[in-house]
Amino acid sequence: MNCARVASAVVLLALAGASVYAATGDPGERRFLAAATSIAGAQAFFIGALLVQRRRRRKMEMRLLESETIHRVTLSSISDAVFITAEDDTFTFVCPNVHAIFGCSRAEAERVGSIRGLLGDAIPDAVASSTANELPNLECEIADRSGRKHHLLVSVKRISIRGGTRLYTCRDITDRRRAEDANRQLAHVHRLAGMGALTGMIAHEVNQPLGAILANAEAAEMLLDQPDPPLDEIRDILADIRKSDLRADEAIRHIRTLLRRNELQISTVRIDEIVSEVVHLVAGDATRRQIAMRMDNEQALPPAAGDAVHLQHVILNLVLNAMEAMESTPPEKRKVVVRTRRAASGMLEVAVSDRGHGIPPDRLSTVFESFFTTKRNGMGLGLSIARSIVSAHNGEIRAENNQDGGATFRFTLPVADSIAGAAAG
Amino acid sequence: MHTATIHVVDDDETFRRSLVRLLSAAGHAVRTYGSTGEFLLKNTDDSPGCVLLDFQLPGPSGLELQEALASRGTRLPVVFLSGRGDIPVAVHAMKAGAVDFLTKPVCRKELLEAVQKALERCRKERARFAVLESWRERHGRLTARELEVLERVVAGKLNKIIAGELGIAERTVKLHRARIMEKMGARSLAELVHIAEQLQAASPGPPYPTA
Repeated sequence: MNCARVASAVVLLALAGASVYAATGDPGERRFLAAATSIAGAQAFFIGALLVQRRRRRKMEMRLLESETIHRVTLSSISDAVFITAEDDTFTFVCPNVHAIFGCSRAEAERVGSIRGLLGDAIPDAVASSTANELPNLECEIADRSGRKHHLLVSVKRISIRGGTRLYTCRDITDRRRAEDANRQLAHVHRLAGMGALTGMIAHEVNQPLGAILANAEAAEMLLDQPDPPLDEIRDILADIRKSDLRADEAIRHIRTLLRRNELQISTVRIDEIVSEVVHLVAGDATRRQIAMRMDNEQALPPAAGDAVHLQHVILNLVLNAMEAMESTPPEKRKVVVRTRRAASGMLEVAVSDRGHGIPPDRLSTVFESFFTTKRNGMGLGLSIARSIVSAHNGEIRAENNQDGGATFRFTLPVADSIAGAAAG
Repeated sequence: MHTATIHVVDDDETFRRSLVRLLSAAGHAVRTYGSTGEFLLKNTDDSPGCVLLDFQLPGPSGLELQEALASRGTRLPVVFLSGRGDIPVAVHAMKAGAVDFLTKPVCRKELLEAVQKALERCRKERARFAVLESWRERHGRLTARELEVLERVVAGKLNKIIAGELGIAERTVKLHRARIMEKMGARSLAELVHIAEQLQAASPGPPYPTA
């Protein structure tokens, strides 16, 4: 307000000068007056402009202050720790709430001085020296002042206002990471539990060639101890040993594939082939338990889109369940049928039927829940894993009781081209 | 020394071949079969030996073969070889009379010891059977009257009682007893009773022809 008044006074003065100049008649004096008036006018203009600018700056300062307050309040209300560093990594700003993550006060953090002092080697040199504006997020583990471990997600951004200025946002993801780890562990246990039966069967596949290798090697040793060793025979033995070794290797590789905590690897698979593999795998077991195994594959089925190993696991699980459900079924009635066909929906369907005790009707909806089991020694994880695998394939699994006794479990899988079509569309 | 034959029943040809080599190198005579059915069809003679039986066979299982052998009266001891150590199954097999239950891979020492044990059992069984056979043969030479007397002697009856029951003179009973002892090759009453009991235990039908 004041400055406006001063400016208008100067302008008035200039106008007064101009009127005096108009009233006098002497040319010399008129010249002088004209110069004085224009100087005064210019001065008035400049002063006015300065005053306006000062007013604007004041306003801006107010706004800045306001914005800074908002930022400060925002920063202290979030749980992330935010730092701004200069080119040499020293702090130019430390947010107030570093305590939750680093276990020290803001002043202590400022005394530490640099981001590397706080995070240590967690900031790789490549990041520290990078000149890109957007840097990938880092994950690191640090111990705070009290020795507690924190898992941090650090995002790093270059701020363009000054050359090496960076904004570091550290988020504590310890709990999230712990939950993820627990989930992963649990999923692995699930798989192992379901796999127990499978590995038992594969043990046979490994021990068979190992037994042959040992017997062959020992026979060769005995033959070599003879006065005139039969070299041709020993050569045959070595060839057999090599063959058995390769067979054992293949079996072990198979187990590894099954046990690895891998993601789904969707490819084009023939579902009827996977079914026959499983049926072949359990054939011995089925004979021992006096169960007739039947396969009923629809002709000319299109290939499915799926992960062969996981699907094998699902089918094996259903078949083993079916076999176990018939313990109290008279031997002449024991029968497991695995059918593959193209369902009305266009998807492929695999159905495993038994003639066992069936599922209590009130349990039909819960059989796929974890820890549901009717078996004395079961953990109740097999079907829940089966369901997660089938859902991951965009399929559906369901259970129903047969009209003539026993239960049928069926699941659907997408046909291979439909996946390709969906990906393109 | 090694007149016995070892019968290897396993569906895995490579494994079968390796066992043949090992057992032959150790000086045994070996015959192989791919299934229990093949074994039952081909092994019809009653020569000494033992069976090395894979536990996980397609078709009738090893346990079923063991039962079939027992019911056929074949005295071939069985050693099981299994791809996976399954304790309840092993217990069952041993209870059913298996000599041993080995898990693959099995080392030479363990295998040959089990085979040795099986052949030893086979020899003992055959010896016991041979003695029993000779007793049976001797028993068959007894007359109807002698059988009547034997039955009563074994029951612990005195000569006088036997004479009364059969309506013959006590002296005649003594004479029959002496003939029986001689025919059966028994040197004492105790031995005679033992032989009679063994024969009774071994024969499925009634011990003595009913007169």
